[in-house]
Amino acid sequence: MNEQQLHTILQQEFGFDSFRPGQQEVIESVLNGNDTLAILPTGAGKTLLYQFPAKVMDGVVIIISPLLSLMQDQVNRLRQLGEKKVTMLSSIQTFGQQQATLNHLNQFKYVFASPETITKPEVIQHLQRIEIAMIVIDEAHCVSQWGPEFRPQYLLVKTLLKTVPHKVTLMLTATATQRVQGDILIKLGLSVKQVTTVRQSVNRPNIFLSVNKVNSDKDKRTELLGLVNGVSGAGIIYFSSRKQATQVAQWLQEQTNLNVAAYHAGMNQTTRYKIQHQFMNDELQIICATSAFGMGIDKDNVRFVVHYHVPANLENYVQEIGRAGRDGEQSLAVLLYAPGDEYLQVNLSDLTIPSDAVVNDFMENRIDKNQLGDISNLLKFYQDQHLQPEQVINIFHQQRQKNRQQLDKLLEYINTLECRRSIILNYFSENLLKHDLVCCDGLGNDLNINQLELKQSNKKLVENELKSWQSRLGKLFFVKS
Amino acid sequence: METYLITLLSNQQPRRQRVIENILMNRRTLTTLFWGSRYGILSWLGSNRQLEREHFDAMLKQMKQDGLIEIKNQFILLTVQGQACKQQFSEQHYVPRHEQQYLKYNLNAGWPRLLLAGQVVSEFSYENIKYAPISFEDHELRYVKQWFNNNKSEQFVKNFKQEVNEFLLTLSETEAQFFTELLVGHDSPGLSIDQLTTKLSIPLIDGEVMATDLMVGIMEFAHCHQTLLKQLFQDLKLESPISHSGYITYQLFQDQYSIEQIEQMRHLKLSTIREHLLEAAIFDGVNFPYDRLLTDRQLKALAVQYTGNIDDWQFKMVTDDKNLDFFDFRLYQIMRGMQNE
Ligand SMILES: [Zn+2]
Repeated sequence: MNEQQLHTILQQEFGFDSFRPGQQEVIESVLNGNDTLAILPTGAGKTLLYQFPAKVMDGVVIIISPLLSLMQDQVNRLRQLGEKKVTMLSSIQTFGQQQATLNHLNQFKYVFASPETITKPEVIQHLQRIEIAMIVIDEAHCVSQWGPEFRPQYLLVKTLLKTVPHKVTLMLTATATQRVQGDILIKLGLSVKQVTTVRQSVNRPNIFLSVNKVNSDKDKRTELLGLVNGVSGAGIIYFSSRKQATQVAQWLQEQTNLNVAAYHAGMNQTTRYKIQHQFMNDELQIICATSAFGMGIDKDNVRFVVHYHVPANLENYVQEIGRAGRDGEQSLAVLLYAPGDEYLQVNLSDLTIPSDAVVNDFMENRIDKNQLGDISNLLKFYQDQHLQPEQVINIFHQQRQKNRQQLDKLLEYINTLECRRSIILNYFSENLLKHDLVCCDGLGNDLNINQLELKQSNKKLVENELKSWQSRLGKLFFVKS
Repeated sequence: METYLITLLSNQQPRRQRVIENILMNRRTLTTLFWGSRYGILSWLGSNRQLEREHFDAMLKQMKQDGLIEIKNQFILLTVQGQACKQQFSEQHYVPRHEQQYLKYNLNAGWPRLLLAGQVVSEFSYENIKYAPISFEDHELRYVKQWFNNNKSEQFVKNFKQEVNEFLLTLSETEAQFFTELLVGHDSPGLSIDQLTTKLSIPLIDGEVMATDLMVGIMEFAHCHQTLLKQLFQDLKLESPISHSGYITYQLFQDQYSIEQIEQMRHLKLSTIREHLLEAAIFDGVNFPYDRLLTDRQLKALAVQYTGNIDDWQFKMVTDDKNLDFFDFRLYQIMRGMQNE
């Protein structure tokens, strides 16, 4: 397909005049049948990367995604774009519902699934019977990286790629260091030579980077209050616990006249849908979220992202702040840090990694598996792969070490007096062009909301009163008179 | 911590902690169902499927600390203070109106169905086809699409609105406001229960109970009066609260087949058939044909053997068939319990 044809389709099918940076390269590579690793920053228009080939190629597009909420976001996005043949194989389906979906796989164009579901032998059998255009591995860094999204079943995707015929594989991620890129390919059994890598800079020049060091949790709240009152526009505040997200949301709601809501994966799907859409409709100004929030948020005018807790690593940090300023306008990222915050993160990641004793007890069936929760699934996976306890322990040791190293990098970012952006770009093996007044608060360039023109001028009060039920009904169901 | 849990407790009858938990979470063992019926709390079956044991135990712990309950060997009893609190609770909180009908419906599916349908109608009324449906379930999407296609007409939006309006007129102002604000529509995603209860200054727990109760309310209403809503909720009305397999057994039994015949026809174990019949007796109460299973002679013998408070009866073996003896015992216990009510 030549460039002219690509642009014609882009315009006719999607109504765009031009591709965003990186999109055309990826789409061309995929249409040429090359397995492709696309590293494009958040907001670069990821959906089009498989939606475009799906329009041109015969067969079903399978998308493997790590979290239910991310999958739901993507499914929503596609449906919103007018795609009807979208489905999802998920853990919230009953057995019967899943069977029904499997038996009708052919009738869909897009099938979303988690790594656990898609690698089940019976699911693979169904996949082998249908024509598959491409297999998309979304958030491909999860294949390599430890974190809440990590599933050992990712390691089985390699087998899936070998046993299920498909024309092309597309791996998508927003951030990956050189090491992670290599690791993704190894874990998926692909060779560097056969894979086309398309990469855009992780740099988001319109986001001012800032770290605010405080002495206590109380000070953190004070600073946070100042930020949400002082900065104009919508913002996301990230927390590492659901409980904190909920509590601070409530507190902010009481302290300000803004509309604030919490958002996390523990909420039911209806509530999550409502909160997301209220935010997109500007009915909410502030979301207090865990990392479950954001991927599918189609909101260009998020002005600031605050981290109330230290994220696990720079990859996550860059992804999460990337939700600000998609419209290209000046935006702001603030990381609030109190001494010792990193230990919370260490504890959190240690919770997801079993100790040597737990591994040994598990392997010798001396432990109640119900008490272990997710860790139990992980250990069972390794057990099923016939790994010896020492091997498993070794994997976990390495993982713990890797987590520490990543956290150290993040602390370097927090503690530096130099340019923060250069630390991020260095981490991803990129070079900084120049530090300036709108770059970061390093080199003595303190955050100045006024100067960034982010100052809240006159607070627009949002309509808060409920209308009568009759008028609500009238608005819901529009009847022409 | 205020909770509806207190309404499920008694100051006369010690109630098993795990039975109450299992009822809320819809863990339908025969023991749970039996005791749930003894406690008169079967309507709450499956009303809180997401309940976590940790949370449940924490609520009990708090109530104990507040001096509202005593717990002995996992049996809970309301204290004098607890009983007073229970009475006060019903005065200060939302009192469900349709509790008796809960078991007739697939409770958990009501709101997702209505929200999706409301959204489809709303978007249609604004002539918008590009939107993200609130449901992810293929089955739900198919069902509502089918419903929509079957009924689409000039007057569709008007009729749907009219039907919902008629239902709302049967509610209080607050209830009607609560109900409409939950709905999802074009360019207005509606509010969550959490947000709504804050705005209406009512406790969150009241909002949750109100949502369930109003949903059963509209399904009841729909089945009596309406066409569009009736079709929308058609498959959510249960043939019976009995489990599906139990229901088949009970139907055969009512068609005058004997237990042995049913055992052969269904290729099930005798003990399973007996469990089905006990389940049927629990849900069907006085209407169950006890006389087909317990002869006059047996009844006389059982009446001698088991006396006093029904809850305290201890099972005793009379023949060498333990399964049969227990079946007779439990069936008799159910029967006597129903007669006493
Ligand atoms: Zn800088």
